[in-house]
Amino acid sequence: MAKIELQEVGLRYENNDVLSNFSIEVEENEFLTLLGPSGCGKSTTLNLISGLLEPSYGEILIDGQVVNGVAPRHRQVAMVFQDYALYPHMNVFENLSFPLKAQKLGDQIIRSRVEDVCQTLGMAELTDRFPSDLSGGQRQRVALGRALVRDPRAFLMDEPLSNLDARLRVAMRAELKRLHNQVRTTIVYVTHDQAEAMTLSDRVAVLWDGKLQQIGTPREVYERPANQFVAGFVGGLGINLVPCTVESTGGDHFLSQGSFRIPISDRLAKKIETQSGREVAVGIRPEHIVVVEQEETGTQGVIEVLEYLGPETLVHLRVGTVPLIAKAPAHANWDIDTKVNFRIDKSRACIFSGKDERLIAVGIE
Amino acid sequence: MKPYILRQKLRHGILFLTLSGITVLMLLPFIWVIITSLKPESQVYVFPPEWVPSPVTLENYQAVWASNMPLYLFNSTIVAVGSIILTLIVSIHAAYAVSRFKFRGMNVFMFLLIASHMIPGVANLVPTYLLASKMNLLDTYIVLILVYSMWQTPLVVWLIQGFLQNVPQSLDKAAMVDGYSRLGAMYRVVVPLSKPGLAAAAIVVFVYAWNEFVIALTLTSSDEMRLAQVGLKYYISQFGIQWGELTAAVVLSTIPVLLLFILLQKWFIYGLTSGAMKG
Repeated sequence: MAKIELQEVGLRYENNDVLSNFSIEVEENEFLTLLGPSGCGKSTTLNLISGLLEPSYGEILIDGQVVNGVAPRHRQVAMVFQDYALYPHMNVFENLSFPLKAQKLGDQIIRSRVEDVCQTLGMAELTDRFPSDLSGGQRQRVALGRALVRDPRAFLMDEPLSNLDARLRVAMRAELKRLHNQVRTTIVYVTHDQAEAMTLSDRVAVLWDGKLQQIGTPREVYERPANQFVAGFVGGLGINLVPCTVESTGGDHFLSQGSFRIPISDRLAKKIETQSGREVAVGIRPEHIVVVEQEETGTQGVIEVLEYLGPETLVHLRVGTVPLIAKAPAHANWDIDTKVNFRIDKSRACIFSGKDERLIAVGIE
Repeated sequence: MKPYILRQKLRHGILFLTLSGITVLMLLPFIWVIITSLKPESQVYVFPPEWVPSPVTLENYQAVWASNMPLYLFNSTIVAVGSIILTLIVSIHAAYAVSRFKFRGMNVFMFLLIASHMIPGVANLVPTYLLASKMNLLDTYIVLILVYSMWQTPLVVWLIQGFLQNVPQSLDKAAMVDGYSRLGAMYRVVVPLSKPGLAAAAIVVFVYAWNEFVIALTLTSSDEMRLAQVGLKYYISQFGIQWGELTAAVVLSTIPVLLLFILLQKWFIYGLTSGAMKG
């Protein structure tokens, strides 16, 4: 299995930078996910690796060899497309054997390899069917099988689960994970679904506007987001971002906006000042805000909306002018406009620079 | 019966009658040709005309079969089939390029292509003759195939590119990643999926080549190279028109066109690309 490197790669199209100065290394057998909103350049990156697009500048290496200018068919990578791209005039067997025929393998070998893949994916009884007779999940499987059957150097997957309904998506997600553990191969996976990225990947690369924002393990990306964009994009509910000013009275320092006020240490105040001046944004994930009973201490807020989700309830709070979303247990039941106290898990809060939105620190001390 | 159902039935009835009338009107000349071809020469001029020939005779067909007409039909078939093959080979590649790549001046190119088709054929006749004569191609199958194909290519490029555009580009891409060149992907995936378009194009070209008269008359001179349409003209001579044999020859010459329609019918399957995508 192969190592894939992109070195300072960029693509310009009609005077737009679709991708700029993008560098990334995908290790052997790694499951790397490119995560980002639509139009961020993640599919473009995949097309560059597969050779369907040529970069305007920069080098792409597979196993240490520069593959710029090498035709897709000579790169020995397999690709799974978002719309599956099954050949409608061929049945499942023909679809699966199509890439093997290109390698001019014998009929015997082709048959046994296709049968192996059908076994692995549990679709041995489907080989005579045409794509139009298959369900969405089955088509998905065939698309995956067509990549698997080739024994390629790397798999490139372009949002392969995005057309499935929610339940099937979760099932296929688990199957993909099992498959990766089983065949242990290099996978570059593109998605805009952060849940897929978190559950499947060894590492996640977050892209936005054609630029790499952060690369790291799912935990790193979630807990130490490099900037406000990553913080907001990763995590199903996003993050509460509160623009604050550092205020100093006497020897005490606070991050405050109106009645929203958090005391901070001398050290943190200095750190903020050297990196960002006085303006920052405090990022707090909803699960790190705990609504407590009236009598306990904490900051006070007003409940504006309650959203019952089943396993939990979302509480929309307002502290002065600052809106916050908190997670509460499902049984939580307050009246609208009730005043409640809440506590913030300050050790998990992120502080972003007010200047360039970059992370300054995790944890408020 | 409820009034609105009655109204609906009445409307359908009127529509049916009108359309039947138009159909009969349009088929009338052809029916008359078939009837005449089955009449003995003596009955052809009988007035008032008789709708049912009596006795029914095949003598006109026998006469036509004994003449050179079968050879002319054979020539026409060679030229028409050759034109289909050449036109499709050239047009598929051109149409694929237009449907898959954006290039500078593409719209102008496509306009000029169809504009060339608007030049009346007769205007090109003399230069074409001179060119063919210089290249020693007069009185050959090749010259007719070349001229017919080049004449039909612009139209067919326009026709096919619409069909090619309906084949999702991710299929080409998948085939290229699967190990095929762009041309390989086109032949194995895009072309098979465009069969309905290719069948339509084949019929357009065949009907044109089969019915064309002026170019065939000009570029061929020997009896061995004569095409059916030109051959038909020889039943009209200065001594009169041999209606019986002419109509029999006409009926015979429509058979290949019908055969082609029947042959290509199974290609006219709609929704051939269904199932490729998420659906």
